[in-house]
Amino acid sequence: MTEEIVASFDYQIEKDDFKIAGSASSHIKKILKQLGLPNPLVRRASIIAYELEINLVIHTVGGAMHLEVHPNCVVISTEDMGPGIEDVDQAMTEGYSTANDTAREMGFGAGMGLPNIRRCSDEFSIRSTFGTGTWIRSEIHVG
Amino acid sequence: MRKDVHAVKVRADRCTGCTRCMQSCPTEAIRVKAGLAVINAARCIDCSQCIESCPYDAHSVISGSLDEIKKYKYTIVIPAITFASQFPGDVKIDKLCFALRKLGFDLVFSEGLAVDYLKDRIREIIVNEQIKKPIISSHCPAVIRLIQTKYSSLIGHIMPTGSPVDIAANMARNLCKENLGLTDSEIGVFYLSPCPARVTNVTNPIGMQESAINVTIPIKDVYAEVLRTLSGMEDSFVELGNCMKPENLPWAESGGQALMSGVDNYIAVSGIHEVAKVFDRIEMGELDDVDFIEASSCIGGCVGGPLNIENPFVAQRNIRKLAENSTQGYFQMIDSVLAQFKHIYLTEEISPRQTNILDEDFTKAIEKMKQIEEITSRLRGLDCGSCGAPSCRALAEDIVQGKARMEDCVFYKEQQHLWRLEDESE
Ligand SMILES: Nc1ncnc2c1ncn2[C@@H]1O[C@H](COP(=O)(O)OP(=O)(O)O)[C@@H](O)[C@H]1O
Ligand code: SF4
Ligand SMILES: [Mg+2]
Repeated sequence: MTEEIVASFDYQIEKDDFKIAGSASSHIKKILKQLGLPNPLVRRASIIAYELEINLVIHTVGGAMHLEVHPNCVVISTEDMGPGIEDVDQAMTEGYSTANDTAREMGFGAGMGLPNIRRCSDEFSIRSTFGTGTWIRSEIHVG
Repeated sequence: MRKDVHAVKVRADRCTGCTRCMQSCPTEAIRVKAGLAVINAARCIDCSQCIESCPYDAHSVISGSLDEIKKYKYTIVIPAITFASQFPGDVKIDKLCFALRKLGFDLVFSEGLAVDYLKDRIREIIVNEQIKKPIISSHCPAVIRLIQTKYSSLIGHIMPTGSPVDIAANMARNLCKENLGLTDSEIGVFYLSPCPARVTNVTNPIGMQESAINVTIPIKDVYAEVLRTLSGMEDSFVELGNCMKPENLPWAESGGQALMSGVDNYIAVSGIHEVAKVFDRIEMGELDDVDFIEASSCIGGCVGGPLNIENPFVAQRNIRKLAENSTQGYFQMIDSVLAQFKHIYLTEEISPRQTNILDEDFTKAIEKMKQIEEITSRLRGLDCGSCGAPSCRALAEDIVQGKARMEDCVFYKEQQHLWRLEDESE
């Protein structure tokens, strides 16, 4: 069997860096367009990447985002160093948000990020340990 | 298939290879090869950023000239809506049109006339038709080409009507065929253009099989002569058949289309880089609640077109003055012509340009993407442009596509040289 070809990209996301928030997800969008993926898929992936990136900026101490492009799927994932989510089911509820005032002033904190990510994904998983950190993986099928 | 030819060409005698235009191009269409800027036609959108950024005036626009008047039995001149705004606000429009006809044309027919008709349709379409919101104005060909090149997901948002100049050209042709018994080949339609985008759109049209215009001439090429004629003319000389209505002139300003169409919920964005930023937002679904996007490649709208003479902001003031001063003649036949005129829609599908895609085969595209990342990581990341590509990543892309070599990077080359010296000294 030949080895599967995978293109992968890593992005470091800083806490509270509102100025460049969104630059990792625009890079991801550019890459997926260059790969010739269909527009609806690129759009879903861009929304997922953007929401994940903003969550790292506003809710965590910082973390990393990864993009992997396989011949049959696109995987976007993040991991961070905390603070973790106390009640994941609650966090996944539409409209639930713990965003602080600064984030809200910047227009974030509608509590729709995680539900949107799940809606745009073909496969979605989230693991979080309160006090430690969160790991989220979203997969979109190609073709 | 039609050849993808564009109006802007680099002048080898003036280009110094300074890389400014390359850095300003929104589609990364320019490379500097052997000290000379080279435009990739498959990526060019005719936005004029290269012209604007060049300190050496090294870009020429391949366009027509007044000499071509003699090729036709009957000639119509359509001045762009911006035309009148190039003259002081106290100029008399009737007189201006007369001076224009004196260049050798048989009829002056204004682009603004189509605006009269189009503005109400635009509102109706926004209210009634099932087109994805926000609807993007189809007015600026450079914007449409930007969508085709980088934002193909937005093609379905484009307003289905043609732009006023093309509608006007068809109207004028029909008018002369019906009233004067002329055939198509006897009629020459000349357009006085504010921009290369419209020059290209005649030979290489978007959304239509063929343009009804035969010759495009830059406004700046006829300006001096019109001014000369104007200054030698009595005030009593007026063009009776003129149809440049002052109240239509704001169409040439960013925001004018929305204003004149009576659309309230809109964004008027101008300058191609800002347009791209707004398009990014639309793609993310952030502007779904906006009805209309009036996007112009040029800053300030068509008054900012590079083939105009006047500063765009002075031109805007001229427009306001013209509108105040004028109670001007108006083409009488028009209403009847308009009533029967139906050709306002784009007739050809607008399709994506595939120039940004690494490979048709998805697996190969992934492979290439891997190589691009690998090469990019070995480059300095300075985006200095010395290699002739707009960024380190663009060079990596070119290398993978077989269009450049690693040695084009000056730092890499120097490093190689050092390695060689080390080898030799061992
Ligand atoms: N990576 C994360 N680390 C810690 N908490 C998170 C993380 N992502 C999301 N959350 C929590 O889940 C909540 C809901 O997230 P989301 O649906 O994106 O809405 P919003 O970001 O608007 O608050 C957030 O308010 C936050 O409490
Ligand atoms: S904004 Fe107007 S002048 Fe500028 S490129 Fe577009 S159509 Fe031409
Ligand atoms: Mg969120």
